[in-house]
Amino acid sequence: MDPIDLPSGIRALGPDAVARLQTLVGQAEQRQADEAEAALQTALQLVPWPVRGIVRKVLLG
Amino acid sequence: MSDAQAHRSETLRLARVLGVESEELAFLQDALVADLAKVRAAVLDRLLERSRQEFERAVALADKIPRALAAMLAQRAMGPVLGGRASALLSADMAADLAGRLPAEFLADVATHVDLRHVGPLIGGIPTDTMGGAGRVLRERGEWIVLSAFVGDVPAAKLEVLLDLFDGEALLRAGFVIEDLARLDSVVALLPDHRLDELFVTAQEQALWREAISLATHIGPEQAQRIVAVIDRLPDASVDALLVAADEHDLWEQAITVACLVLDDPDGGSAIIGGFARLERAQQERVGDVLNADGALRSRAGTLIAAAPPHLRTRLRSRGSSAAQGRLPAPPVKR
Repeated sequence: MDPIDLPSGIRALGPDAVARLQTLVGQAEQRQADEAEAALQTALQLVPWPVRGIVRKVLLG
Repeated sequence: MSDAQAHRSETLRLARVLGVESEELAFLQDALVADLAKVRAAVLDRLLERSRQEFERAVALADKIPRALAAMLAQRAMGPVLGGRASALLSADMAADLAGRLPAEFLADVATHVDLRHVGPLIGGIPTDTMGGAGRVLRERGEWIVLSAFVGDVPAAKLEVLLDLFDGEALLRAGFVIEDLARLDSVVALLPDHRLDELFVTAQEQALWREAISLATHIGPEQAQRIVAVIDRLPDASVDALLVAADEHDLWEQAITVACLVLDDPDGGSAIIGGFARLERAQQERVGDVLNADGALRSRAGTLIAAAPPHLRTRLRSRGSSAAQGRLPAPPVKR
């Protein structure tokens, strides 16, 4: 995804600060995506088999 | 709350959203608090959009399966970070129902990760007992910033009940880091007189005068009068400790404001003026320096100067006292 739009006061801190912040945002996004994928797999393992079908259908589309 | 404390609090909030330690954001130390808050909001928006489809599906699932199962999945599959972020998409009914099925420790974890711009309107529907349970956990953890963040979204009737759960230390520390200072007045209004006394006893016992002074300077006239009565009931030792803390934390402007409130009260004043009179000479001269540097404050402090005994009045009125005369400068601000 594109870098987030930062306030001018943050941009004024310089390119290094902006780059570090955008890196941290990207890492947070990736971490969340990984956790969401792991949560999906965990949910499928946790639900009892009678509802596993509907859970899979709703969560995977 | 001081500017430095506001910066620390906002840095911690942003660090939690980014999933890093606040020390890793030291490169933002020169950023304005308002800019840090804008970044936090932008990151939360981005994270919500990044996983919106997954969150929407999780919420849809919770609507199709037994709620007990949905609560179990929220806790054991999603966890507090994803759960907190996905909660932005819950309806008020579902939020209240799920919250009531989750353990207090997990709810406290979730509370540190929710985006109150979205979740705030859902808070009022959560049962008071449920909120109280999570609140107790947050209090045990010393999560003052999280606790104070919720104050603005809890209805007054529930807040009044919840305030009973928190001791003086929790109220002082959470009040000190509250984002929405305008809410302090309505919170103080919900506290009976004996709780206000408790706050100042706690301030004395736990050296939380900085927090107490901050609280006293961010409330309206009606609640200020109640604080005035409390201060006027304080023993001399507590008044002295309050003023020494003002000196140590560079809070003379706030302390003078509080003192003038006390002195303006027809029934008050003797205790606070006695405290100023008992200050060391250098401390009294620093008060004079603060008054001399701020014409508006000096005007407001007319009652303090007028009520002061002659030796104190001289020092409060003297210009260019301690610094200009080569005495020790004011101590560094301890924050």
